[in-house]
Amino acid sequence: MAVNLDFPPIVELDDSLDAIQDFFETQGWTDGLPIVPPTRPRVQEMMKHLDYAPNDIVARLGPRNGEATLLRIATNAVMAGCRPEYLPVVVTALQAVAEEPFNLNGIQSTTHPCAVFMLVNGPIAHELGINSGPNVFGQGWRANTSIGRAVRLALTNIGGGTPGDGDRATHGTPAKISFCAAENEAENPWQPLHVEHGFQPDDNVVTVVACEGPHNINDHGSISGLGILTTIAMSMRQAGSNNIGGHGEPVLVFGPEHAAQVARDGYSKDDVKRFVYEHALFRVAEWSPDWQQSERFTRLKEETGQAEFSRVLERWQDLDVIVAGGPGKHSAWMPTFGGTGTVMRRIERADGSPVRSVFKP
Amino acid sequence: MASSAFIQLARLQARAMGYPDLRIVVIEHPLGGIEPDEVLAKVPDAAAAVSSLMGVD
Repeated sequence: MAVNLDFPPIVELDDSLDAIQDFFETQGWTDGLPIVPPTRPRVQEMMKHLDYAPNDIVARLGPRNGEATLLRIATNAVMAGCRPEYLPVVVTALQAVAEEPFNLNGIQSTTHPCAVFMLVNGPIAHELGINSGPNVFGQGWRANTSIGRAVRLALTNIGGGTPGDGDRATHGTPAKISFCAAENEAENPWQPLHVEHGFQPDDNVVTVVACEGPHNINDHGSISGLGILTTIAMSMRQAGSNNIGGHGEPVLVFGPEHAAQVARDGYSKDDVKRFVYEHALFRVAEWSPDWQQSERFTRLKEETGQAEFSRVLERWQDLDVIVAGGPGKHSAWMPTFGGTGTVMRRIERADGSPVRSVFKP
Repeated sequence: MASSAFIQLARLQARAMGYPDLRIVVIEHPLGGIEPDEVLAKVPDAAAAVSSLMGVD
């Protein structure tokens, strides 16, 4: 698809929703869904909760190395259907993916179906109505869907991650349309992710992970923490995952009922991580015979010292453990692209002061 | 060098890095997941293309 990545200053179009949609679609600026027309008043309104100047470059987004100014981000946020109060989360997410450990160039252009998963922690999640409970990764919440969508549109329209052009995903995933959620801190028996990593409980933090959509882990039969963890570890030993061989930091999402049972049986978060490290093993004999003869396997044996099996985690600390979702005996895990790191970033103003609330000063 | 399925990405990245006129040798996709002798079969044409771009016989 021909795509125009150079924004004209202002575009005059017929006052018709169909004409507007056709134009944006023809330019390659949409995700396939209709957009909210980014009129000048809407874009101005979108920027009101942040103190950056409109032409401040907030981040540079690959593979095009596009300059993500506040104005451009706000334009994409309007298109995505965001409310203005969501923009601080969108901006923080884009700043996070632009950090070197995330490897945005690789993530945008890979054949792997990695999406940008955004997890929001802190009071702002409740303030903005970001869902952390039932159907947390599905449809129904404007904040979740539009924030994720805004980030994807910015990565496409500013970063150049256009399908078939800068984005070379073989299949992609629905998670590339939008993938944003809040952690269910109220039902987390352990520390929420941001506190675990040194933030204050009332810090508002966005975590970004380049990962696949959720892989469900159904366990209605186990009544012990050991049983649930066993099912989890067995689910994660997946051939065809980029994390086989211990690359990257996959995400384990406990449903609240599974988390409660595991915690009740005395497992801490670190215990969970160690269990997965020890038991999420893939026997080499079960690998593709071509892999077993490959130079890559030889290198893997030399690097890890393991000839018999391959771990999903390189170190036990490399697992991100969160709690999200509603009632039901399900958890989930998300394999990552592998060559990428989780990035966590506090939501801040341009002067570096933390945003405690979007609405209160 | 870029495989044919990824030439658009290669040109996008070249432009983004300030090399809009970067000379890129295109090799027929795929390079991964094929037999070693299939990879070797692509070498003569690729080598010739590199030589030509460098002005070397």
